[in-house]
Amino acid sequence: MIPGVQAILKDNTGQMYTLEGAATAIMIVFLVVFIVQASPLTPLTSSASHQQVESQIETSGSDLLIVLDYVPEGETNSPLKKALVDWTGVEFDGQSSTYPNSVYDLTSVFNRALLADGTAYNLVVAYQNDNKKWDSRAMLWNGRPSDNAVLVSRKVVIHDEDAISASFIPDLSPNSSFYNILDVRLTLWRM
Amino acid sequence: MSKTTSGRKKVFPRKSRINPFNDTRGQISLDFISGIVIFMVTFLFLFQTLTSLFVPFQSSSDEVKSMSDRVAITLAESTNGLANSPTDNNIISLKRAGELNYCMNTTTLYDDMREDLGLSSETTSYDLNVSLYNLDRSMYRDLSNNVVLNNGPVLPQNVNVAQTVRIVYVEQDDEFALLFVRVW
Repeated sequence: MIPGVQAILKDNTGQMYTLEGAATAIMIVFLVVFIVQASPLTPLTSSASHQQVESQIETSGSDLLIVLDYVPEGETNSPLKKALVDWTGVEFDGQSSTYPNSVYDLTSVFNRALLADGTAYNLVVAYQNDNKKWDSRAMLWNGRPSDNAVLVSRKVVIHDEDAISASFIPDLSPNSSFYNILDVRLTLWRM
Repeated sequence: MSKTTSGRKKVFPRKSRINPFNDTRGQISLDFISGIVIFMVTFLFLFQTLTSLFVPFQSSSDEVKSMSDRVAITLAESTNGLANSPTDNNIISLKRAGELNYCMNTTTLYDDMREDLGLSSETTSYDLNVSLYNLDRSMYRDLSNNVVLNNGPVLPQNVNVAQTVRIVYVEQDDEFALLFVRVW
């Protein structure tokens, strides 16, 4: 037999180092696995506060205001504008029943589109006061939004002939048919 | 008494007493210190580097999400998609939805459409599933009770699927609907 191989076969010392090496390797592998598992909040982790959830809510909100502000054929006003014109200025808290009919229709669309997948909303109407500053009043109020709420808005122009019901919104230009401009602010957040 | 004491063998002979300057044994604590330092450095390295090292392999959800967003924009807002007119976003036509449904059901047309939407090229290929739902999450059906738009390959089980939901208005039916676009 080759003397070198013979020496290896006879060698029965230094076996502790091999065992330690194996043990260390196992420990390091476990450590890597543990660290990778134990860092649950990387930017790609899916959760309810994920960036993509916010962008989806924002898309839904602006879509909703766009489709509600579309004037169907044969109608004069969009459902959103009808509701704004008919609204008397009452704040509807929680899910209390809303009136008149156009506001009720608007609320039912919001409820069907948003509440079903766990999105809460507030609808605030901002208008220009006599000093040309923005004032606002809540129309549909479901409580304080959370920290990662999203706000979308849409401007609606009101003319004299719309005969808006809310008396606190002033006529900015008595000499022309322009009445006021409303900024409809929809706040959305995950419940 | 003193004689017997001095006659005893000394417990610690002077020769073997610890001499800190001459001691060449018992240095195992140095090994321990270097070992623990290497361990700590490795630990910190792992903690700092490896968490971010694995991120690119964990998921491609960002990539498919931007694709589903783009496809949803094309479908909801342009006349190449479902929109009725180029000026009215999110107002869709049932006729176009029916056509899209037919395209998604036919393999060659589906492949062409994926190419048009930028989902497939020589190197990449993504699948697409488009459906139209009512606001209450039931399938959108036309007057003769047929499903208007729900086609594309079946959604896979263990792959990242990106989903974009657009709220649209179907003018013919005076109905609001949800357009689900899923890409993987």
